[in-house]
Amino acid sequence: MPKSIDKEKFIQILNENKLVLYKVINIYCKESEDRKDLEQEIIIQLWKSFDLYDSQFKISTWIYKIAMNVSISFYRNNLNRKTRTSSLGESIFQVAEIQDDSLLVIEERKFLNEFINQLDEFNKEIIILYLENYSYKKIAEMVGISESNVGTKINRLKIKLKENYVKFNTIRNGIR
Amino acid sequence: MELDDLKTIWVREKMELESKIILNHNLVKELIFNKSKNSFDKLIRISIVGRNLALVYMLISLFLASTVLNEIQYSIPAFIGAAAMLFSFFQHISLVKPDYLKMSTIELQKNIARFRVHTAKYSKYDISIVCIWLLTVLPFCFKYFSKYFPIIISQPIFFYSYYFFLIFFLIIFPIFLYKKIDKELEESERQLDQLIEFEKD
Repeated sequence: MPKSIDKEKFIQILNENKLVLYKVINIYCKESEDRKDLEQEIIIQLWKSFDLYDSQFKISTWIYKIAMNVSISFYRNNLNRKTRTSSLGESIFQVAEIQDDSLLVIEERKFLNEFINQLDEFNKEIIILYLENYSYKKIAEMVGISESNVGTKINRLKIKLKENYVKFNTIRNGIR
Repeated sequence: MELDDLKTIWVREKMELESKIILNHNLVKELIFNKSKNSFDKLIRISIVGRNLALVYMLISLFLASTVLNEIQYSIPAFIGAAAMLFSFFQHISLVKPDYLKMSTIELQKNIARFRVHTAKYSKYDISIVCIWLLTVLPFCFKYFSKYFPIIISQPIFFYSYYFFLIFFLIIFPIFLYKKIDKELEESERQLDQLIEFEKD
């Protein structure tokens, strides 16, 4: 346990990277009760690994790595899970009231979320890192596959995206 | 729609969310203060404690054997029980905690899946080993118990209860447990295959 580390500094880092954590948690976990558990598991793991943080890496990369590893483990284990870690009843990340967005923005986001939701846990990680502008080399390193394999998987995702967009547009135009 | 268009939507959403997400500082402090552990860490910690307990049981058997070295009907089973526990300890010597920071996603998930396969596979041996150990320790209990309660020990009901206990723990109980273990093993092996497939692709 990192006794020497200032708790306030840890909280400050969490605050600066709350968006990264919020996005990962919401992509890997849809149920609000499970989300609370996942939030807590990630924070616990980050705190435990804080002493080992190597400052030559970006702090956001370190957070992504741990958040992804914990989320994927949680996601894969979730179906058989009976016990819960959460005992605190509150959420660590609370979202302030959302303003009314335009229909186009709402639909764009709906498409983005639906597209990511249908992917398996590893392709979810690849797409998140891609959207976050990580290089193929870095994605390969974080996921644990070869760089060429990352390229192949991203090309497949591109094809899938196009197919999904056609379907999405067909449904949208049908409703209108 | 291209992936870069998706990136634009992603970035726009992030910019909007930035000001809306509030971190619950008190809850974070509470979590740190409570020194909580995540669920998988708990599972592996229990397994490691279980592995080390095997050494304690081995020492109990050795101690019991040393008290009746000349009575081989007691000492030999006790040595067998000790050997079984030592075997159990070495079976689980490879248990290591997963490293969320150093391991890549695939490496970590393989580690977790292998741990689950290992636990499920060896559960059957572990149950048998515990039963063997109990069988080797029970005669000692009867031996010392009979010193103080000779009338109870000589009652037939006592022996019927003992045999019922043996049949239940050696035959009936494992049948139900093994079904559950087989299901878990199948699921863990499927997850491991899925990982290998993803890596190869």
